[in-house]
Amino acid sequence: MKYKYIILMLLVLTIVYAETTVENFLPGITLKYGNKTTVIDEPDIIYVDVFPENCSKLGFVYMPGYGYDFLKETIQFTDYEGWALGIAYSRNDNFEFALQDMTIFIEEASKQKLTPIIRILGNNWQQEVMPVDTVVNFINNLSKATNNHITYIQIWDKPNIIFGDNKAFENPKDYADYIVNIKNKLNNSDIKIISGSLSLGKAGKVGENDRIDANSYLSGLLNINEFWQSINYWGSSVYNAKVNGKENCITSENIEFYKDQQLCMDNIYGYRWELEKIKQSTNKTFEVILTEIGYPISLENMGKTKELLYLVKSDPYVKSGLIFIANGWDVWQNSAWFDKENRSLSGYAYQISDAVCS
Amino acid sequence: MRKSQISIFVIIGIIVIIITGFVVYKINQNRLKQLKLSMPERDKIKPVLEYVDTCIKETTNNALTKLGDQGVIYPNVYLASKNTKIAYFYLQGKNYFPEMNEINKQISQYVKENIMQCTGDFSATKFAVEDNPKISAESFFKDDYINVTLNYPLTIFTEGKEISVKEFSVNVKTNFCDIYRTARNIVLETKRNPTEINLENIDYEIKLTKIDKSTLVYELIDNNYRYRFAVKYEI
Repeated sequence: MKYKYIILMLLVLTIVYAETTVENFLPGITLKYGNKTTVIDEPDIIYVDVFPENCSKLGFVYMPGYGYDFLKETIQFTDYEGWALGIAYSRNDNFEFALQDMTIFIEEASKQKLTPIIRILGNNWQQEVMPVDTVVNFINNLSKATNNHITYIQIWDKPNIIFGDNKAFENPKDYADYIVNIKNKLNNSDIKIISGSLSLGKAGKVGENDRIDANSYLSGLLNINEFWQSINYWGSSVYNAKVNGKENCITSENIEFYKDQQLCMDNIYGYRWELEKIKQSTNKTFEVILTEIGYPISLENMGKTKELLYLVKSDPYVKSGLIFIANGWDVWQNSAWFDKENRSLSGYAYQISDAVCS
Repeated sequence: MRKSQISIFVIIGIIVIIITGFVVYKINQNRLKQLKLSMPERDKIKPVLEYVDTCIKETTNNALTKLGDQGVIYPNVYLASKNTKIAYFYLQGKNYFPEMNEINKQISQYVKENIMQCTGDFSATKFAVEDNPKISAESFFKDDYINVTLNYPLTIFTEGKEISVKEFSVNVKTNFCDIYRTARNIVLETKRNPTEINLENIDYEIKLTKIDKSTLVYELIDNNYRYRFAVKYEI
């Protein structure tokens, strides 16, 4: 008798399960119905996918203090919407100047339907790391001054480079702690944190500064679980003055997917290598924001640049790619994509835009 | 208790009353400053103020309808038919779910761009009104409403006087916040486990439309409001 009840119950449960669960609702996908779910099979209306051929993922990096009237030209390049990266640093003034400068930057960007990213550096660019509380205050003040028009914040740039005497981030744990503390003190889920992009390549000199091996540095960050819960996007870059140079290459043998490809970490696929390594270790797939992309502006690099931008705009894991640089900063004047005299896109930029974005 | 002690208490009492009165006066004065109009002035031009408020409500409701039909007001990656656009919130492993900041921005933009279609003719208010097209709008969702603040400079001519009004702020009732949270959970769950659609714990009525073997349109229904979005699997 007892067994009859059990069999009956199992039968009822099977019927209920069958009624509420559909295996292969779509190929390989199971649907568990809710109380009020209805399903309509393929409607008569014809639908098509629209993935615009514009470059709305792209934008430019803007040097601070040079005015932002070029921002409006970005749409000329991207064709529809876009991004803009501004740089904030303290000038021995606890970000006072940066607050005004970045407020103008964000307001100008918003007017042009550009999504602003603010990169926060330290005192006198990267000579000294600013205290966590000062950075948090700056973000909160900026958010307030711009009616919450800022969402994306990048903390630092190239943490694996020792800038002069500043060894604050020499140990990846110190950089991870810095990010974690900022995230916790901000306590604002509307602000999305982007990690500082690593300087890709082996240990060695970068200009006058020392670089810590990018592979070791990333491995160090991967040991700190909280870091990966505190960042929303992985920051990376695709930029190398020596386009064909191989001297800084790190092979990617430890990554199965790239095992036999002898990839160079600082080449066009460097960020993919990083994402793969991060996924293997954290089991999380991060979207990447490339906060510095491009090659030196010269006709010989044009093909390479087009290839790079096409890759960036079509890679679903790239949320945005920022071309270095937009407005002229004396030392980088020759790399500027905007013509200082005509106050418009340079001829080079127009040619690239025509090929990639229209 | 001696007379001198009583006097001290009386004096302290008077001082407290004066300070309280002063604080209350200051608070009220600040409120009046915020309104920027005296009450008699407000009463005089009440039909114009009500007319603009109604227009903001109507335009905001239109924005909410468009948001519901399309997932976002200005979709970038979407499923399109002849007359509709439905934003992809999940596309072959990638999460396109819009952040609340973005939705606020889009509603503000929609109101800014469309408000003058409603306020185009002030003659219905029987007032002569001059409006300035330099409009800006801000919006935010909270609990069960959306607040829209419109910076819309108007000059109203009445009884030989000019009255200037600049800012309008209106709350429109909507359950969007809750629907948005539900949609976000669905998308996050889809990204976490793309082999299962689990709607067991969702309170809203849901219509699932199979577009093709890899594409679905979700429609979350709450009374007369619907929120639609599309997902495409890697199949």
